[in-house]
Parts: sequence; C-alpha cells; structure tokens
Amino acid sequence: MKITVENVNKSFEQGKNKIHILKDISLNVADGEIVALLGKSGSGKTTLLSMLGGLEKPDSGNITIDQTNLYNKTESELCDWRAQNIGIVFQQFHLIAHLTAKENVSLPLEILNRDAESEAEMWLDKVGLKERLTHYPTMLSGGEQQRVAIARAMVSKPRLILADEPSGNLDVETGKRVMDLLFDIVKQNKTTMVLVTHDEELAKRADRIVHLVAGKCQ
Amino acid sequence: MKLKFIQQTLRSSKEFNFFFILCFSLGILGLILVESFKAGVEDRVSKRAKNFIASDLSISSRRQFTEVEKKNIEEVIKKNNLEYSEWIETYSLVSSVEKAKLADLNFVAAKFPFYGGVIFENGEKSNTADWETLSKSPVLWLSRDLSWELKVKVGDQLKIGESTFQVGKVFTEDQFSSFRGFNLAPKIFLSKNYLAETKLMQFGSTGSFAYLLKINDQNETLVRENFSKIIKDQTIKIKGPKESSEQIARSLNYLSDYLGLITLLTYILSLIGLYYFTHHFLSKGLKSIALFKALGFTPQKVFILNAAHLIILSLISLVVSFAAMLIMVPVLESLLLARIGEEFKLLFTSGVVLKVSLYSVIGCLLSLLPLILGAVKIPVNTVLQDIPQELKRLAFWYYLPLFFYVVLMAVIISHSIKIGIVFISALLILVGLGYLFFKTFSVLLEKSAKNKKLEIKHGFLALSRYFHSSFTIFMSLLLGVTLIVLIIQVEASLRNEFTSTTELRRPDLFMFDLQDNQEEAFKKLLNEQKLNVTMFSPMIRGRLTAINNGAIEQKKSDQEETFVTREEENQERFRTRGVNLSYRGKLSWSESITKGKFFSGRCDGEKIPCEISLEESYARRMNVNIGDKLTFDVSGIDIVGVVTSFRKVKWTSFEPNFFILFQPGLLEEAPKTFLASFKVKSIEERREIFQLISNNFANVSLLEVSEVVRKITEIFELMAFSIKIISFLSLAVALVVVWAVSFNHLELKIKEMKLFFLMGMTAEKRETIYKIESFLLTSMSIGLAIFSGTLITFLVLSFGFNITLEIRALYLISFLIILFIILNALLLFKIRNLVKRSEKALITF
Repeated sequence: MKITVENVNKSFEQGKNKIHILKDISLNVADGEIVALLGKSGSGKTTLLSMLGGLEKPDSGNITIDQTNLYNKTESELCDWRAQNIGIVFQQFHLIAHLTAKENVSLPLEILNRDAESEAEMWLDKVGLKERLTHYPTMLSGGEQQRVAIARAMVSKPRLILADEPSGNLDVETGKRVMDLLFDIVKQNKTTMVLVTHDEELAKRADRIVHLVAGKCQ
Repeated sequence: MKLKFIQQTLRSSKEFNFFFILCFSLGILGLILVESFKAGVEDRVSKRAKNFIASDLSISSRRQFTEVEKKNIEEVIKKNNLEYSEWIETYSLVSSVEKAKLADLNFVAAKFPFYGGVIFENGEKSNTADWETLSKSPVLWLSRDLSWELKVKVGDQLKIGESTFQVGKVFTEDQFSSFRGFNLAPKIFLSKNYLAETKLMQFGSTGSFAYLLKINDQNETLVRENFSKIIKDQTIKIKGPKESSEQIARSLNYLSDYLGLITLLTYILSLIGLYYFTHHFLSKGLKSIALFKALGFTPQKVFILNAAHLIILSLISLVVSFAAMLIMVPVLESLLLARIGEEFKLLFTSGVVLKVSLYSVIGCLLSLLPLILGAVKIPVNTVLQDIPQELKRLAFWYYLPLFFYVVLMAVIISHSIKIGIVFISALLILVGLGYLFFKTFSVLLEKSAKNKKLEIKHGFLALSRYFHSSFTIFMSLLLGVTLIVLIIQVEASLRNEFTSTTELRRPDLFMFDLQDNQEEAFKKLLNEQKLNVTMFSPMIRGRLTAINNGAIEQKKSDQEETFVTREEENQERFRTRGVNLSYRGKLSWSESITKGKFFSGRCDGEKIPCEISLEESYARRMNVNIGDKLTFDVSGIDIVGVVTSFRKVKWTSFEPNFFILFQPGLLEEAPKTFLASFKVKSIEERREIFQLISNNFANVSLLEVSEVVRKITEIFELMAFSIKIISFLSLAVALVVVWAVSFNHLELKIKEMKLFFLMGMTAEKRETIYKIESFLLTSMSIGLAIFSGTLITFLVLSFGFNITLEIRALYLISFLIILFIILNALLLFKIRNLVKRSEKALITF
C-alpha cells in the first residue's frame, strides 16, 4: 500500500489555546515498506498515525493511499476501507475483555462477513497461542495479550499495519520476542507498516526512520 | 491535611457525587415520607381517639363510684392540678307524645367535652357555648334517627324518667365513643345537673360513670400511675386515647406497615444503586488508592479518607431530602385535603428526622464500607503496572451486618416478625429466581450467539459476558417494576373492593335487637311493605370456652408495655372476646367457602356434634383447623360443634356477617335477637323505614351505615393517595437507578466501541449491538416483573388484606409499554452519544 502525505496540518483546541500538533508534514511510504516514526511525547506521532488510519481529518493538506484521497470518502466508506485494509497494534494491547482470544482474533473477519473461526485459530497458532484459544485477556500475560493483538491485526490480511508503541508495555525480553514476531509476520505478508516508537533500537529494525520533532518531519 | 484530601476527592468526582446524592436522596425521601405519614396517622388517630373519650384520660366504671373512690380520685385530680369533667351514660326509654324509644342517654357535666363534639343538622359543629346551654335549662340534643323515630323536632317535649326536657338541637353525627362497647342505641345529650330529677339513677341502676381529665403540662404516665395507686377495683378502667381507638388505629397501622415495606424496598433499590456507583467509582480510583499507599498513607488512613467522602455525600443526601420534604409537605397536604375532604398533617418532626437519618446512614455505611475495605487491599505495586485492576470482592460475611440490618428494619417497619421475615424471604426468593432466570438466559444467549449475525452475536455476548453489571441492571429493573406492578394492582384491587358491584349491593341501614317473639311480625311487615331487606339473621351471644376440650387461656393481666407485634395484638384480642354466633343453611353473596364443605343440611340432633363454619382469618388467628371441636358457653349451656368449613367473607360488602356460623337445627332454641340490613333509595325512604320500624317494634334499633362507609372510604382514600405517592417515588428511584446503572454499564463499553470503530465496524452495526442488549435487558426484566409483581400482589392481597386480586391488565400493560419505550429511548440516546464519542477518539484510549 502506497501512502502519500502532503503538507498536512493539524491543530487542537485546548481551552482558549490552539495547539498545532502537525505542521506542514509531508511523507511518502512505499508499498511493503516498514517506516518507523520516532519522536518524543507530544511530537504528533499518534496523531499522524490516526490520520493514516482514517480516524482523524487533517485541517489542511492531503493524505492519499494508493492514489485515493482518504478524506474524500464518506464515514461508512472509511469504515469499510479500514476493515479491509488496516490492522492496528496498540501499546496497551486493547483486547476486548469479555471476548476470548479466539473471539478477539475473529472479530475483524466477522466485520468483513468472512469465515472467521478456522482463520482465527490458524493465526493464534502462528503466534504460538494454540493452547489459549478460549482464554480471556485477563487470563493471559502481557506478552501473550500482545501476540493476540498482533494476530487480530493480521487476520484480515490488511495492507497496512499501524503500530503504536507495540512493545512499550512489555519487559525488554518479551518486547523483543513479540517485535520479532511482528516484523516476521509483516515481512512474510509484505504488509506496509508504520510503527510509532520512541525506542531507537526498535526503530532501527524498520526500513526507514522518520523523525518527528515538534510536529515537523526531519 | 485529611480535610484537604477529602475536598480534593469531592471536587474530582463530580459525576459520582451527583448520582450518589440523587439516588440516595430519593431513597431517603421515601423513608421520610412514610415516617411523616406514620407520625401523621398516629397524631390523627390520637386526636380522634381523644374525641372518642372527649378527654386525654378517662376513669370509668360500670357502677357508681363510692364516696371513698370519688374522694380519692378528686384528691389526685387536685394534687395534679388537672381540669376535669364528668360523663354518665345510661339507657332508658324516651317518650314523645306519640311514641317511646330506648335511647343512649349521656349526662354531661360542665367543661364537657375537652375534645370532639357533635355536628348539628345545619352542618355546624358544636362549640363550648352550645354545650353550656345544656346546663342552663332542661333541654336535650338528640340524634336525627331518634327524632325521626319519635317524630319530634326542635322545641318539642320529651319525657325521660320523671322529668320532661325540651328538644334543643338535633345532630346528625357525634364523634364520641361509648363506654359500653357495642353501642347502637341512638344518642341523647343532656346536662348532669338534671340527672337527679329524672330519678333514673337508683341503687343498683346500671350505667357508665366517668371522670374525664385534661392533661396539659402534666406527665401522663405519672398521672396514670397516681390514679392506679388509689384505684384498687379492677372494674374501674383508666383509658387513654390509645386504648379507645383500637379499630381505626389498627387499619391505619396496617397501612403504614405496608407502605413502610414498599418504601424499604425502594430504599434497598437505592442502596443497590449506591453500591453500583461506588463500586464503579472505587474501581476507577484503585490506582490513586495504591498511589496514596505508596506515598506512605496507612490503609487505615486511606479507608478513613474514602469513608469520610461517602459519609459527607450521605449527609448531603440527607439535607437534600429534608429540603425536598419541606417543599413537598404543603403540596401533599393540600392534595390530601382535596382528596379526603379533611385536613391531614404529614408530621415532619425532629423525631422523624432523627429516625430517618439513623436508618439511612447506617444502611449506607453497612453496604458501602465493605467496598472500601476491598479497595484499600489493593497492592502498592499496582502503581507500577499499567494493567486495569479489579476491585477485590470481599467474602459474603462482610455483608452479613447489612443483611441483618435490613431484616431488622423490615421487622421494625412491619411491626411483625412474621411479616418482616416473609418480606425478606420474598425478596431473597425474588433475587434468587431472578438470578436463576438471568443465568439460564445468559447461558442460552451465549450458546445461540455463535452462529448469529455480527450485531446479534455481540449484542448477546455484551449481555451475557458482562454478567455482574447486566445482572445489576436486570435486578434493579425487576425490583422497581415489580414494585410498580404491585402498587398499581393493590390500589386497583382495593378500589374495586370499595366500589363497583360491592357499592351497588351495599346496604344502607342496619337493624338490631329484634326479639325472638317479633320475628313473625317483622316478616309479615316486610311482605306487606315490600321492603328491600338484603339480609336477615339470628344472633346468639356466646363465649368460646374450649378448643378440642382444651380450655382457652385467659388474658394475661398487667403486661408491661414492650414492643408488641401485630400478631400478638391480634391473638390477645381474639383469645378473650365474647363471640356472636349465628346459624343459616345458605351462603350469602358476600361469602364463599375456601376450605372444607358447607353444611350438609340440618343438624338432626342425633348427629352430634353439629357442623360449624368459621371465617378463615378468625380460624387462622384462633389456630383452629377443619375437624377441630369447639365448645361455646351459651347462656350457661355448653354447645359443642365441629369445624367443617372455612369461609372467606367480603367484609367491605358491609353485610352483617359472623365469624362463627352453626348448622341450622341446634341454636334455634337459644335466646337470640335478629339483625337485618336494608337497601334504600332515598333519604325519604330511609325516614319512612325508621318510622315504620319504630311504630311496630319500639325496642328495635336502626343504624345508618353511610356514616361507617364514609369513615372507611376516608381511610381508603388516604390509603390510595399514600400508595400513589409512594409509587411515584419508587418509580423515580427505580428509573434513576436503572438509568444511572445502565449509563455506567454503557460507559464501561466505550473502549470496545472504539475498537469496533477502529476495526471498521459501521456506526449502524455498533449501535445495533447495544440496542439489542438494551432491548433484551429491559424486555426481560419488565416481562418477569409483570409475573412476579402479580404473584406478590396476589399474596399480599390474599394474606394481608384478605381481598380478591383485580388485574388491571390494560392499564398495567399500557403503563409498562410506556416505561419500556421511555427506558429504551433514554438508552438509545446514550448509545448514540457513546457511538459518536467513540468515533472522535484518537488511537490512544
């Protein structure tokens, strides 16, 4: 999936103040490329990630994905587009607490109205959790939860993975193992990935690093 | 320092504070309303009872006081600086030019009455000046019935004993009771100054003699004790308002007990709401609690900080409810005035405030402190973890004090260990059945969810997997709607009992004291005049002496006044009372057999003992069963019968009826009188019957039922109004609890809504999931509540009021459909709001 970000600006109202989060950002990501967005807290990494997922509209500028302007789509079209093309991995895993591991992984396929059960089982097997299909998130360790989250992000074979500090909540060793898994899977499937992190070591594993400082690309 | 933290906590939890105060205030308001109503009822009964005895305290005897007794009583009166009057009541024939009639003569002394009075024909109430006129000349006041029977009017002369009196006034209603118990003779009031001239009181003459006392600043208990010390004869009775108004007090006490239990349920509902909010609030604040501990606060200090927060909120809720009550009192009183046509004071006294404050704060603390105990157990290292923590659930025994407290409240409020325990058991059974039903339903939903469409599957799972909060909503709604169904049906059934067909068939006049030898003449008169007699029945006085050959225990004397349950009151009353017996071969329209079989023809004298049919509640109170043998003393002869059936009597029909009916063939020869009831169309016809009966049967008494009906209707209107007010309150509490709990329940799902959105689920599908969940929850609880509410209503009406259940299906269903629509509309509004909010979120949560 080819992404083009052109002169994007974004600001938020905070009380009487207007905070400029992104300032005239431009960025290209090639199909199958893994890009790491590196920056400090408040630099606008997560806002940019949200925009790439069609979750937040820019104040100005364009975001085109495969030559299609994302924000010309209606809400409903955006939903469908996200369901078909995007997988998201979060720092805090964000599994749905009342669904089992298998049900969490099945969800993206169910949204697409596709056969989910065998596919979900296969992906959980891929991430090493074949024995944990019926476990609820609270019954899993942090590393296991993140592996379920990766399986859930990949199960619908999305063309773009958005990962927001995916190892930020794990200890070093678990984090490394889980990131190995994520990178392996993304590369195997030739999926484009935009990875937000402030961990330079992790960023180095990406094809390219984009530094975001005070809302600008450097 | 601590105060500062409490202030900070209060400031930072505005939403929680608001829901807590709203929910708790409504619960407390119910308790205040019922307590104020109860205090108002007690005050009203006490005032009315003072009217009955025309004083604060009476000392009465069935014989004339001896000179020594008089001297002693008057000494105590003087010593205690009491105001007093005298009242002598006797029966004698009163003659006009045309007729003579037995009347209840009331000779009264100066200052009579301290309370109460009579209502004259012109509708005015007697005043002090009116009563003074009696002592100035030989005039009398007589009841309207008597004036009809004697065919006299104001200014005519009447002969009483050896004196002649002029009719001064005619009254239609008097507020006094009689010292002679069952009194039906028409009344006359005259001055005690003229008693001697009548020469009615000779040696051995019967009558009631009473000193009437007014207690101003004196201590009533002390005054009673002083009189008790000098009165040795047990036949001299010292009576206060309490002892003289049992009947009306009993009816109203039952009403306030019933309302009390409904309110207790409302209060429990508000505690469920508080528990839920606090649970949610503490769960969200677990990290802060861990942080406080990490900063060096001891668990005790953290506990105190949180408890203080809740205590402050409880106190604010108390103030809010008291303020609301102050605003509501005048409005409710004016509504009551319009409804029952008489002033009714809701007594919002300091006693009520204290009682309610104590009840509510204790209940609140007992239910919420275990939650705080669970919260402070959070490990300190939670501060370092980024995983959401669950509030630790404490073992059930932490809630045992709350359970026993609720049981105790139920017993105190209902004044009955039995009713209190039955109430709590019914509540537990309802919760238990609700749990079983909900659990089964959840399992079924879970199983059927698998192959359903996405929205249906997740709608089902949202309900079954969030079991605790779903169950809380389900139970709150179930309890609230059960309460509403109960209230609506009880009110409808009571209304039906007092109106409709019963009202059409209700008699207008009672006739008493027709003698044995007048029976044939009376029947002949009925045929000739075509009078509409609704019932004609013999009455034999007797006393129950043995059940299955075991003698009946006599009344225990000089019992100390302690907490007495309603059951003990009833048993004591029934154990020692003389009874009226009757016999008849057919059931009347107002009765039906509930157990056993009605009489098999006549008792032929060989088949001894004869059969007895008992009124079911009488049998229950006397602990008598079918097959038991009862022995009665009738004019010194033992009459034995065996109980073969129980009857349910519709007492509100006002048809004369009997607790004990004998099979025909046994009591015909016993000394008896006859009762009859008449249905009349107009006041003219009423007057005609009065004159016809008195012309033919001078000894017979007639009584207008309309006055009794008016008093009963007044109580009923009071009941209906109180039930309505409490029902609105219960509905408000149920709605607030359900609304707040469901909103909280939905708020908990904002995270999954965001995830659904991020994964590309359309808004329509997301909305449908929660609409399905809300629909299932509301329809299930309302549906089950219709069933449970109707069942409980049936039980309450059958065992509490002894009346038939009247199902107002159309009204009830329309009401519940409206409730269902309102609830779902509110929830839909919230769902849409959350769905929108979840779309605005960034990836971060």
